[in-house]
Amino acid sequence: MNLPELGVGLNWFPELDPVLKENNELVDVLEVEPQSLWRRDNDADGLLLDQVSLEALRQFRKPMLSHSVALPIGGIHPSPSKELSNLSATCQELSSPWVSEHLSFNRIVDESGEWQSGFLLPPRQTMAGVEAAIASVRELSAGLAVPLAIETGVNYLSPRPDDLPDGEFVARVAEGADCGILLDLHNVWANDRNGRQPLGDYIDQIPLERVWEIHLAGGHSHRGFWLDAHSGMVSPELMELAARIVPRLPNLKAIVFELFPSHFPKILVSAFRTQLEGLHRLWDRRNTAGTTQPLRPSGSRPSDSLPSPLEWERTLAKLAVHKPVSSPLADELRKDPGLAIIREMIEKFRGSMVVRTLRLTSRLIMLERGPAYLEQLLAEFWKSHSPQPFALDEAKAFASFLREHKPYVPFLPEVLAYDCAVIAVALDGEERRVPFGTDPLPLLRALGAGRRPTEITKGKYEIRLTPDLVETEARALSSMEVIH
Amino acid sequence: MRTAKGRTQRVPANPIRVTLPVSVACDLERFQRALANVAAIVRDKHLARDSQGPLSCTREFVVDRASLEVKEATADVMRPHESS
Repeated sequence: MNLPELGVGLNWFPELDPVLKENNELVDVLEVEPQSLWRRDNDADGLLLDQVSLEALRQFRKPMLSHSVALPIGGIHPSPSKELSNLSATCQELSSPWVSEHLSFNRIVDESGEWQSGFLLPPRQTMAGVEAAIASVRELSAGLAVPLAIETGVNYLSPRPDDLPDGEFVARVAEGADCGILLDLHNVWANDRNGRQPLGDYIDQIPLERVWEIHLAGGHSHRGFWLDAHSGMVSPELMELAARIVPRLPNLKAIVFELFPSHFPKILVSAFRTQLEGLHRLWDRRNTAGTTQPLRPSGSRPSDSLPSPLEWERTLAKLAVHKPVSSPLADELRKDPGLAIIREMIEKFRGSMVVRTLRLTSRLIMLERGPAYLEQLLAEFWKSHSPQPFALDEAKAFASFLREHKPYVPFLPEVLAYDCAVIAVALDGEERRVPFGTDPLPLLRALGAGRRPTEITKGKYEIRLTPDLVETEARALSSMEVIH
Repeated sequence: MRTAKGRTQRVPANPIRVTLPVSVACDLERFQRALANVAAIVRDKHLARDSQGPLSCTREFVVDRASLEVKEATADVMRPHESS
């Protein structure tokens, strides 16, 4: 495979632009999540590619890599053709020499229809799981004009006795599908720290000549687990391990540092620069001789055992989002402490989508009834509503839930109507009028300041919201958000 | 209610309206400043009210997107379809 050498890169978010400009000479490549450029097309009920953001990216004049986060290829269900064609089109716009996607699953089809787990979940690591993943990789690859690399995922669940070892599972999929590997060293290291396969054994099992790209990131401890949180700098221990692994990778083309923008304010600009310099030293250790290690034989086929990938995916996804499910596998997974971590991550992300979108409504509920009451309402809501990839859909569904269940929260109907109107005006550019039976000025000012509203007088009021958002701001509201 | 000319005039039944650009509504900091400006102008009018009660004349306040200043839109109140 003749892929270009790209060097050290950053997983791009608009919030990183200032630091990117500051350290321009240390960043060789930008890795872009195509889904971060997708916007809801309200007219056609489809997706639009945000050309303004794309043009802003092009202004950096750097090569771009496409790192997909919403069409994982570790499960049994194929990617929707519409999203696949969007991915392909976005990759072409980015001129990405290869595309990466996660060896996980998030799409479920069952008796209730198709839904998403809201989190990239670990696949069934058996030979049947390998075959399902190979089929998914082949299908995604067929829709792309460039080669595909599979990303090694994080897995908070305990290893099962019938699991193929993590490294062997990845090796079998990569070789069976003839694709590249994005070796996320932080994921593999986190899995190791959380009781899965030791990183050294993992590296020994994967076909190193297929590793085109490395991801490095920082994480933190939480309830006895090391989280793949992209929350800071790469730990010195992991940098040392990476320094030993990089020279063994004959086809390494990029090393990308991942950091979620929400953690960026905590990080000093100087630390960021030091990190990038460290990654360049790592890059310089790569094996430039280009020697290729021979493919190792796949070995005999291990016997398959139940549950099937289908049962695994349905059961794990239902448990992750608190849907009712009853089976021996469900009983077994409920005992796994990793399930609570998965649930917590999904819930935090879903909760943040609601709080960021229905801002005054969520504040009102917390201030009038306490944060625990909002959590209780959200927990009830999550039982009956699957996660949505767009924050707006999540907020819309929660708003309907509140209207239907009518929880006792003073001023709720009016504040909720106001929040929903703000979103609607921003999206469709049509004016909205929100009637209030109480004076909205002290009410909304108190909520805006994070205070409980007091001394609200009755009366006949109306807030007229007029459209004036510039196009980019409006599009940002309708962007796709995917936890991964 | 008696007017200077001695005719009875009802207080308009249309609501007190605040017109807010959605960009201001989406930005909590600017939103707070805009509402503070509206509250200040309403308070001033309330203090200066006559026996007809507060806000009997001016019932529409428009927030300017750029400056966040509040303008009174008295003409709106006089529109026939909005008066009772």
